[in-house]
Amino acid sequence: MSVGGMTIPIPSIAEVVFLVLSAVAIVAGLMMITRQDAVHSALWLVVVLFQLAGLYVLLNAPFLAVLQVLVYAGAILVLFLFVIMLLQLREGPQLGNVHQIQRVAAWPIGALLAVELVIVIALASGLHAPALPAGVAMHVPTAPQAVPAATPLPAGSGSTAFNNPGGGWPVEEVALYNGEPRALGIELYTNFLWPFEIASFILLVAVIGAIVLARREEPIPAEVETRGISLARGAYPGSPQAAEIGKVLAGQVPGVHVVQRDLAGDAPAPPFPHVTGLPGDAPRPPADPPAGPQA
Amino acid sequence: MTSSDMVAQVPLEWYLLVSGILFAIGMTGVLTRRNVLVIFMSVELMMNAVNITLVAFGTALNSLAGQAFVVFVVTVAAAEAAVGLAIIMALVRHKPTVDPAEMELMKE
Repeated sequence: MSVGGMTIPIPSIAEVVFLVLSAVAIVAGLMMITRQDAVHSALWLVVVLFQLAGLYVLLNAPFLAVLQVLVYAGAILVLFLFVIMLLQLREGPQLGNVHQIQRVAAWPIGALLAVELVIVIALASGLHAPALPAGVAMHVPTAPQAVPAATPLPAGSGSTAFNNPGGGWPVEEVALYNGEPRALGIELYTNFLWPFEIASFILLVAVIGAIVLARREEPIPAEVETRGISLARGAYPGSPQAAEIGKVLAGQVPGVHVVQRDLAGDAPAPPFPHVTGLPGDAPRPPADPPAGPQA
Repeated sequence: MTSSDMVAQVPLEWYLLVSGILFAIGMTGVLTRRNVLVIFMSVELMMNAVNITLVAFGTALNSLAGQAFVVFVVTVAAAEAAVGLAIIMALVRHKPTVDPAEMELMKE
């Protein structure tokens, strides 16, 4: 079996899982950027995110896998779907109707970037056979045992990270606790405390910003100012409101006038009976044409 | 099973290759699509590709910094999605289109 120029006799279970997850992620990513329907794109992106969660599990980062599913697939993508549905944007612009040059040029550019990244990684990691000039080759060892300890274990270091302020986790303890959310939590609350607080502030600002930006400014209709009662909606038959409306329409309520008014202005809405003269109403000019069964 | 065993089973470069390919796919999506929502999703894909790199390096180097970075990236991505989608909603309400070429409010 050969991947990236490196020959592996028998793939291990982890490698098989990795290959399956990566292949599905790449195919789903390609599907995501080629679907016409934005909802389909969002669902394919969910597929990609689930594969990446699997890769996190493979990388011994179960907390990030859960975070990926909860926050990305669960919250962010649902937000996307909400906006797509809310704005009824399913029928987006067709792919490349106008920007023919962009459409033609983007794919080679993307392929070029992919090839470049692959070549750089292959060269840097020694997957590639040709020897590089001295000083150019950047060897990234595949076996972490070969990596020298980034932070040597300080003498007298205790069992907690608090005894090692600012120096990161001792390698032995990382190896011991890695994969446990507890280790990541301690790391976040000690060495990354300030970024953690700044991140919470960013979230607060984002909440305020989203509310301010997405709020719809409702213009107040001018007709509301007249304190009229619209009879257009009517009332349930037999209810006290229906009886009151009947009295008003029959002209049995003194001081209340029923007028036909077109509330929508120049809109082609049909006029409907409108009650004025309630307490607090401004006196209506007599030019207002009364209509309907008025006393 | 410790992290050393896991990374020894799957070479670090494989993660980097997958990350690079996904990043390129995301960039292609940003360049080709004319739906601003799909462009937004492509940007999210690019961020996820970088996250894979961060976690892979962190695990390979026996450091938790990579995972901590990813936590912050996810946080910023959530904030970005909230604000960005709110901006898109406001834009579409002003002018019902999702084509970024037609969103030229700032030109007027």
